[in-house]
Amino acid sequence: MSNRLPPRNDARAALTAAANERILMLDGAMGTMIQQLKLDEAGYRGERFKDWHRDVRGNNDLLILTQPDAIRAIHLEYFLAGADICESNTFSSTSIVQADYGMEALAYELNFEGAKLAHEAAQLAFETDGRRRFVAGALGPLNKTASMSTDVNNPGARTTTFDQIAVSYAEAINGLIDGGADLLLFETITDTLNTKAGIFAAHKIFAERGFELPIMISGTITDLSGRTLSGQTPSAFWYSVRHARPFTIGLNCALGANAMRPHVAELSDVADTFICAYPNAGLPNEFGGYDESPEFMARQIETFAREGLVNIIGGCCGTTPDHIRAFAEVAARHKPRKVPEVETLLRLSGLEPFTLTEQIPFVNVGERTNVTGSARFRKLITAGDYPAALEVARDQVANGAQIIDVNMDEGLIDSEKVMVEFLNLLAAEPDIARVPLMIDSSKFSVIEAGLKCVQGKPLVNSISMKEGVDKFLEAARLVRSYGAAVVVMAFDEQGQADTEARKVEICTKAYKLLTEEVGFPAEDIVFDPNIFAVATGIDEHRNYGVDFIEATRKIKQTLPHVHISGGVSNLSFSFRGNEPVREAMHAVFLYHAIQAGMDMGIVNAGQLAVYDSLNPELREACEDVILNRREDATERLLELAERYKGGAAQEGKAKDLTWRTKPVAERISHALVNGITEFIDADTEEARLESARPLHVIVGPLMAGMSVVGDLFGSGKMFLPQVVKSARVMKQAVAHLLPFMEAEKDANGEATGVKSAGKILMATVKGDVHDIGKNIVGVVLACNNYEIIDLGVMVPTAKILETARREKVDVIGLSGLITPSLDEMVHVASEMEREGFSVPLLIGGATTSRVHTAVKIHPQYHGGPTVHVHDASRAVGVVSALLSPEQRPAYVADVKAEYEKVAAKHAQSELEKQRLPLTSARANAFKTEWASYTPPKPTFLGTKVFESYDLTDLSRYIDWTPFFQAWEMKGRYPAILEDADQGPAARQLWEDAQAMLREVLQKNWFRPKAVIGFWPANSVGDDIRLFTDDSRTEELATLFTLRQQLSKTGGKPSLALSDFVAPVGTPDYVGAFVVTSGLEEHLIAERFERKNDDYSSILIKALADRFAEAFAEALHERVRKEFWGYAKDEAISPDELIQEKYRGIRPAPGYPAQPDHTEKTTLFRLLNAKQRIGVELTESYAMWPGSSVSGLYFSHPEAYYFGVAKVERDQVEDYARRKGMSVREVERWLGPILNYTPVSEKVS
Amino acid sequence: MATPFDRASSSIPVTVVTTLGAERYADPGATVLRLDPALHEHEPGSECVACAARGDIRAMLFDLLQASRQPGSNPVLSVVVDASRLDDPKPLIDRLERGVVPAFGLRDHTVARSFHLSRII
Repeated sequence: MSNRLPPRNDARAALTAAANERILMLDGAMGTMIQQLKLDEAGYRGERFKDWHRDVRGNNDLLILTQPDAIRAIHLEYFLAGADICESNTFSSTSIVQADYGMEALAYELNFEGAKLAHEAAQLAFETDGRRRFVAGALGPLNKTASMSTDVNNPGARTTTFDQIAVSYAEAINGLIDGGADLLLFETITDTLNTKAGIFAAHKIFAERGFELPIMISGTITDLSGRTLSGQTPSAFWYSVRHARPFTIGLNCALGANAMRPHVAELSDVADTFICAYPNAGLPNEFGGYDESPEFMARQIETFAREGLVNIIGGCCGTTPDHIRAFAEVAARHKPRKVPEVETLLRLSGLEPFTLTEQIPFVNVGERTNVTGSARFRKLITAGDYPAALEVARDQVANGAQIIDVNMDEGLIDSEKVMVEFLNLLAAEPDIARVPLMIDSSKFSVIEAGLKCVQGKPLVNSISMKEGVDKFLEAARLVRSYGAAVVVMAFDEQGQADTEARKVEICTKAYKLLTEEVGFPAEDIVFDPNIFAVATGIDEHRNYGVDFIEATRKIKQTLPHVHISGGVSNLSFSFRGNEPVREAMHAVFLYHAIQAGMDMGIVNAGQLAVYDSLNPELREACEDVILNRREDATERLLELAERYKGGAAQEGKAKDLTWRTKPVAERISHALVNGITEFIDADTEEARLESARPLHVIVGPLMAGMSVVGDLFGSGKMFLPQVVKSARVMKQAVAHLLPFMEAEKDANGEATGVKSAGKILMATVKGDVHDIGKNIVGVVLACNNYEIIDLGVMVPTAKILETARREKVDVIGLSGLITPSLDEMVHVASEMEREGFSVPLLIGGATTSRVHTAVKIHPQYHGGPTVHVHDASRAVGVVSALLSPEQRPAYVADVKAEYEKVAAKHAQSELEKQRLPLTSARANAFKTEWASYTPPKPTFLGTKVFESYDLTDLSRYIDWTPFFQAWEMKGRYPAILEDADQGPAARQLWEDAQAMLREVLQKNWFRPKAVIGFWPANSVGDDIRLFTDDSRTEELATLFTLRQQLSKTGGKPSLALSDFVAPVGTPDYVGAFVVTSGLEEHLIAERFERKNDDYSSILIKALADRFAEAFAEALHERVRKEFWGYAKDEAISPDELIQEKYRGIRPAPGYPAQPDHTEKTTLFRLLNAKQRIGVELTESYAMWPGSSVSGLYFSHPEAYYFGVAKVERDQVEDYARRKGMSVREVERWLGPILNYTPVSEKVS
Repeated sequence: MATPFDRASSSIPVTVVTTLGAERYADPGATVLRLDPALHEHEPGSECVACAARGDIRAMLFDLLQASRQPGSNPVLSVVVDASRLDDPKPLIDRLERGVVPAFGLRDHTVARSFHLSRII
């Protein structure tokens, strides 16, 4: 049968080949299509579930069984619209989710039949046009999560486990495979750990069945800052699931295409597999629907394609076959994204990604959350003091640990249980969980328990061949299935490797097994070739240091991509109690081991000496021991050790104060290199007294010290945490000098004299805390004689500019790592422009790019050049070019020309992303047959005042539900009075309120007033013209209205309030009203307050507000029945009133149907509300007294409340012209609904 | 009026205003969040992922907290949520009370630790 679909066993190959040639299409939303079927409960139940004990409407997956033809037809529609891949309708078909309907037993059947239906549709499509189609078995998110607690009072609690989830997903996956799915698709992922359990299940099934299906993985970014619900960044998410070797990684749901773009771009950069994106049709509108039309969305999707970000495109919530057709059309015009070659590096993640790049010579793994390494932590854990234990972890991360080691191997505790409890608690601490974890135990069961708790990609420490190759392979396979990297100890059945040859031999054997038999990525392997104690007096131990260092060198040379780690403290075991010597030994050892290739270690970074600042005698002695250079090395060191032991051995660096006797410049240098803040104020002060000017201290000893730091860092003798500490010392010294510099400036009138190459202000922008890159650039520049003013992290714009001005800086450098920082940089640039700056602006940091700088930042700032600095190494070149009078003009011109070219290209594509142009929106206005409609005429024209109004009558209209809500009583009135729990309190409050209401009514405490009016009116375009009388010759006023500019689907009109008023030729009318409870409420409330009776004061205010609302409602009813009289027979209950089940609307300016508050001016003028009833507008157009309500009346039977939502510049300009206001003023009042950046906020 | 929920002093009190114009009773200097009635709502239990992203009072408080932690920003001492334009503020109030509506995301934990519902007007 030639017209059968080919079998799925070559699906991956076929899809890969196709994806390399063109952008493939996924389908659109299933839920949106099902909604259009408008099925009722019976429709969902079908025959089979007609007596089911629970409501099942909304269980869309059940339709697989009860409406199979409809579901198959939807799949077919999508296939014929151009989809290459359709998702089975099994989003919620896991037992865990189906339990909500009591249908957990159906999970397998749903998945089986769901895949089968989609496969049948694929077959039909294939028969129709001969194009091969594929079925992705959809595996949606769960309503339970393994990585978070749903109870904020108990962050360590979990409602489900990794194992339960794996079982549930396994059942679904088996159903999908048996039903004929070609791929598996984990989608709308809100919890990465859940998905890791799903991947675990899938790989297990693949292994059992002996074949694999391609896996697609699609996460969901729910935060504006670009995080998943479980808190991960897109890159961190990718690193967590990369072990699935997915066919695609991507994003779907929650965001429209434009908002999703930057996050897709981030994935596109880091992922060495295909990218699949299927955004929503914009954001949900006020009715929970989606509005972006196929054409509108296709324009945005085309930018994905044009920029080469995607390989597969589809749609999520709100998209339809028409969308997919439109996407397919634009996608066909562009080449698919080319899968990038991603550098082979160790990539781990917590909530944030961590990549071990060449710029990081050495990773310090924090060791203080290790019960075997920290006595304090052990005490806390055995005492069950988790809060304090978490603080230890928090401190460690705050102090720069890039990975933290968690070890619970203590004989007296249940390690497995404690590991799980601690990791679960830790997961709720975003400032700790952002870094990757090292799960450390000698028991694999403890490691495995830990692996089931972390959503990031952790490191396992450790596995080995201690119990033979089989056990080793088994453990390695499991580690791989959990998606972790691994530390492998050089250990086999014969014991721990001690010599260089044994270390190399075991590691080489392990490497082969891991890479060839397990398929473990080489970059995810970290060898620990065992650091043993030296200087023990035993001859066999003499060469241990050399053995490790040389084995490291050889392993790094012969086994590509692997890493070397070790527990350094073992080395100095024989000097326990002599911390100065131990630190010196560690520093010397690390210096040599790192040069040989060691790139990771469990080290307390806070207790590490700096190689170059060691006492030369001690350093040499240590070197002799570690490098095994002399026969008598151990004896010499032991001898020397006595002298260094000193009194306070525990004090670390502070104990050796010999450096304090040196000249001040050397002391400052020492403090900088060693990160000691203790004496820096005094030393700086001393230097200042010796110097002619305070500035000399900075450009002299401080800069000199920093350049030593820069050299040491550059040559691998200092590590990042230490450089950060140096920067801290520098900052403190500068802070000490600042007041003196200020005073000097005040005295001299201006700064003169000392010549640094230039003054550079650096800051990590507001909202961002990353500063390592910035610190490096700072150090590099400082070493080149630039003076650095580092404002630190999360610096607000105002502070940057103020400092730049005060310090007369030559250059401003901005840094940021997270995506929102990009916008903040744009803001800084525009503020610099506004304040007339002209200094160069440098942009740097991981998320910044030349394109972003050219498109977004450069155009904001005309005063001076804006330059993107790709990395620290270019900083000096860029700055010196910018500050050199000879080079500057040509350099600036080059950069400007280049950026303008990039920006122009980008602007072209921006043009296509707008909302409906005003002209198109007007063409899509609400239409009705005015010719066959006779608008009702009000019983009077002009205004009518209600000087007083019967309070008793009004009290009938009070909607009491909000009143109870005001007192935190939940539930609707009157049911709440009988509520089991709240009933008594509600009845008491009710009695109090009724008592006060009776008093209000008896004593007439409130004097409600109102004014209403009606005028002849006709619409003129988007405006409503009011006339003085029915001759309609003299204009009285114009009510201006705004029109929706959302792209609309399904024939929905683009509304403006003027649409509800007949055009010229048909006599129509509009009304208006202002009501108030009166001024009295204020006076009465004050009276209660003076008596300290807050309860009564609030009670009376709440009643006044209720009366104002009730008054508006009561009057509107009379308007409909009596004054306008178009609904004389209306007979609806107050309940229905509240639900607005009547004809006509009363929208108010400042609310969604007319968001322009300034329109109240016209309304108040027409009604003369101030004179008539004493209600006036404040300068911000709020009504006073506060218990007042105003609005317009419209009578058209089809009128309804709507929201204008965002408007474009074309409408704002048109509206400003019509209203006779400046565009700038209109933009000010409509700020929140502008869909563009107003020119007034830029400066050109 | 008594404070119904006593929380640690470092936690920021949140006042929810459900009656029109009542935000004027809130503490002077409070940060005011106005809720737009145009934001859509779902039946309890059927919240979509998109809702978790926007219009969610917890997400708004989370953003506020992030912004206030920046140096130079004024600390947030108290928050007034103007919910007076919502048809039914109950779902909102439920999301502010500890433990009534489950946490959906990590940020919900942060918000629960940093804020408490102090009163409803």
